Amino acid sequence: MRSCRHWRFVLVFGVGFLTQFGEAPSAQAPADVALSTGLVQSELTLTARTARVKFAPALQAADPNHQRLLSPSSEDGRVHVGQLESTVSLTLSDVEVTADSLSSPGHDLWLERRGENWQLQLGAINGISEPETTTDLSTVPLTHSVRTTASPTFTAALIPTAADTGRLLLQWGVDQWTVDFRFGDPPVRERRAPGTGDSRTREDDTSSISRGKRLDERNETQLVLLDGSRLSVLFFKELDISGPDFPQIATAGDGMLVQLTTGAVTRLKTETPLQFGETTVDTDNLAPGFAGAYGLWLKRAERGWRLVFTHEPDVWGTQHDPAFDAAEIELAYSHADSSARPFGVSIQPTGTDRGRLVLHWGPHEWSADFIAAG
Amino acid sequence: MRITPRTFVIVTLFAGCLAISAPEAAAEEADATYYEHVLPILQSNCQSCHRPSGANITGLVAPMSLMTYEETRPWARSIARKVEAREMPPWFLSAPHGVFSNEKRLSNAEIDTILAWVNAGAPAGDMASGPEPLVFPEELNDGWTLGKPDFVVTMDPYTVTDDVYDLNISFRKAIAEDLVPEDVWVQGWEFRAGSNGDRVHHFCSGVIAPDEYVAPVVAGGDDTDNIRSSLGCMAAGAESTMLPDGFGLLVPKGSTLSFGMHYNKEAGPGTSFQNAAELGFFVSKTPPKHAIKYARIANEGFEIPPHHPNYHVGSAWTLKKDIALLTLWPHSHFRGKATRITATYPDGREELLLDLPEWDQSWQMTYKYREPKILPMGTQIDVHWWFDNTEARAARYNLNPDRAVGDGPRTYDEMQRGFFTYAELESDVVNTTIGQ
Repeated sequence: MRSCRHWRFVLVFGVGFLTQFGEAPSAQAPADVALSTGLVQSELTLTARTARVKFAPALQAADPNHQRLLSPSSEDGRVHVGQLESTVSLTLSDVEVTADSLSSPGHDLWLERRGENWQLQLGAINGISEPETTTDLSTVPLTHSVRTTASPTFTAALIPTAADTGRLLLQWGVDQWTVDFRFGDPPVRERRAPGTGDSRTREDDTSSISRGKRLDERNETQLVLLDGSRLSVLFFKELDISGPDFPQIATAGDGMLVQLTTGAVTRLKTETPLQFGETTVDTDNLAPGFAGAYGLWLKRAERGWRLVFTHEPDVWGTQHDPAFDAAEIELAYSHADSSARPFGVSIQPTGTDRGRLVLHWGPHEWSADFIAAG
Repeated sequence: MRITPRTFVIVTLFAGCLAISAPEAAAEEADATYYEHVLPILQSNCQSCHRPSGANITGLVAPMSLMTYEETRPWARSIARKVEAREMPPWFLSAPHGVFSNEKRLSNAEIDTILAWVNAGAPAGDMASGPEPLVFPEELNDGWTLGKPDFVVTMDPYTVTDDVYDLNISFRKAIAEDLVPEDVWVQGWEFRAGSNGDRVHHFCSGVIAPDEYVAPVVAGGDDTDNIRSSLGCMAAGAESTMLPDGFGLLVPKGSTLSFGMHYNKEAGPGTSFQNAAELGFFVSKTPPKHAIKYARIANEGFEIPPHHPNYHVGSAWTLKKDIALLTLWPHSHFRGKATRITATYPDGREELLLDLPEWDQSWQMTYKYREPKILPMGTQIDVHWWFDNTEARAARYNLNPDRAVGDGPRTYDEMQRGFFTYAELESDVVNTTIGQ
């Protein structure tokens, strides 16, 4: 349990870790420009293992310096784009980065171009922005693609893909890069030997124990905005496509909600109001001065899918009560591929104050864009 | 179900002897006397706890004895208030009625009789008109309420020191070979908190077979979390377990018992105490047909917001096999205010299994079915809890309503639980029973 406490400590205080970012100079790269406007953080926890990527949203795609790198005819170059931390070892593509070197303060990330190839360079954070001066530098190949829509600023997100794996998604302008990663084994939980107890006082803070129990049965995706506001979604583990609930996606009739018989309702918590189109999902819905907390329910609609927000975020996935419905929004739906992904959720940043809530299950994917309205 | 002598004792003690106690009509005010009218009601519903001393229910001792007229008379008006408000006997279920063997609930006629007696000045009446004094099983069996156990396992004494406020600690004790020289089926077991049992918040146990490695408990949990043969828990107001005939739990030779203890007291000089909890076992007279299991339906991921007056937390379990449900034990801590358990059958019908609109942490009863409740595969059991994190509740229990509360080990943290004793059945058993 102490090891869990340690990473929870990192989790809680990771947001406060701000580092000056800048472009790493190289023979081809533009001059170093310090980025001090703060970091946005995307975080993923799978079976109590947490990885987080922090990036500088002030990296503008329209900046001429960056356009030179992103241009199809560009020469080689690289840009210092963010940091990566994890509580256990991570294998990105086939490059393993050990937990010792990844735990906070983590690794600096450079996005690097070598002709037609793109790669990610990771070097232990040492206060020096030059990757060449960094020991144990790792290079991870990236898969590059060009999108039809453009991200004006650089973004990075961690997306769950299975029980132990995820995908790092980088977007900048019309360019998109991905690399799959795998978490190392979960930390061995400290067990209490018979005859030794856990003694606590009334004043002790036991929230870390509660959080540990929460993450025993659920995974979590989080987004921390520039102002420190945190959005998180807890979703139950092991909701596989071979389970009893997945077939509902195909069979649900108009107006029906997808029930989770083996898990609690998906839980959204937000420290800032969120604007989904015309719909505001507010804070303080359960208690004044408390973050907004909602249950999320997938609903089949006559045309497509909708997402229902309820004021009961801690009921089971079969216990929807319409009397507690708070809001309902339209979801974009896509049938991505023949993926066998278990149910998962990600909050993908799309700018400094906005993002995309994405739910996926097998080949199905639903999403809705939001703006932090705080 | 066949009623054995042992089950008869339980029914006598805990089901409230409804058959022998409930008069058809309340005594007229002028006629009501202690010996003729009130004592039978007290014997059937009150005296199992309200006795001068002794083990009573798992170590609980009621604050006053109601065994004699002299002891009862001073409390007459208080008794009238408590029974009229249905605060006593402690039976908090609003529904269902008549399905649990340990139901303690006065009929309207019984309440009217007590009120009539009090209004008449609480007269004694003729002693000869009253029933013989009760003799309780524990008086004959060294304090064990279910009779004399076939074997008893006691944990090694442990001293809870002065500095301790709230302590979760687990122990293991091998069952000596002379106690269990060969594999045995047990039909019942009784927890005894032991000396200073009033400072035992709960006591959970399980049987660890010699070929079954069970890692010690994860910090913050109970030592029964991963044990297949859990015996459940004892908490304030909880009772002992005696399974119906035909049901049993295997205790293999060479097994070890876990003792998951939760102690709670004020810290400070002079507050230390020693405790050695016990478990008494009652061996099945004939091999059972059904091995029982223990299920925990829980939601451990909740977060109760500050100041929320009625926060709903739910959990559920969909049956993968046909089962016979034997007991229900809902459990939460100080903020728990109400609980409801339902079964939704595969055909969509919903049945209320338990509705407890006013939960009291001091009375954590196990609700025991008179007849095993048969539930077919595919049935969904829902456990609902509502929590009160307001200032008023906080003042009552010395809590902090400004903090969000999640699942945790201390009494001042919360839990959302439903514990169930059950046995998996062959399909023909279920079909026959349902058909009947």
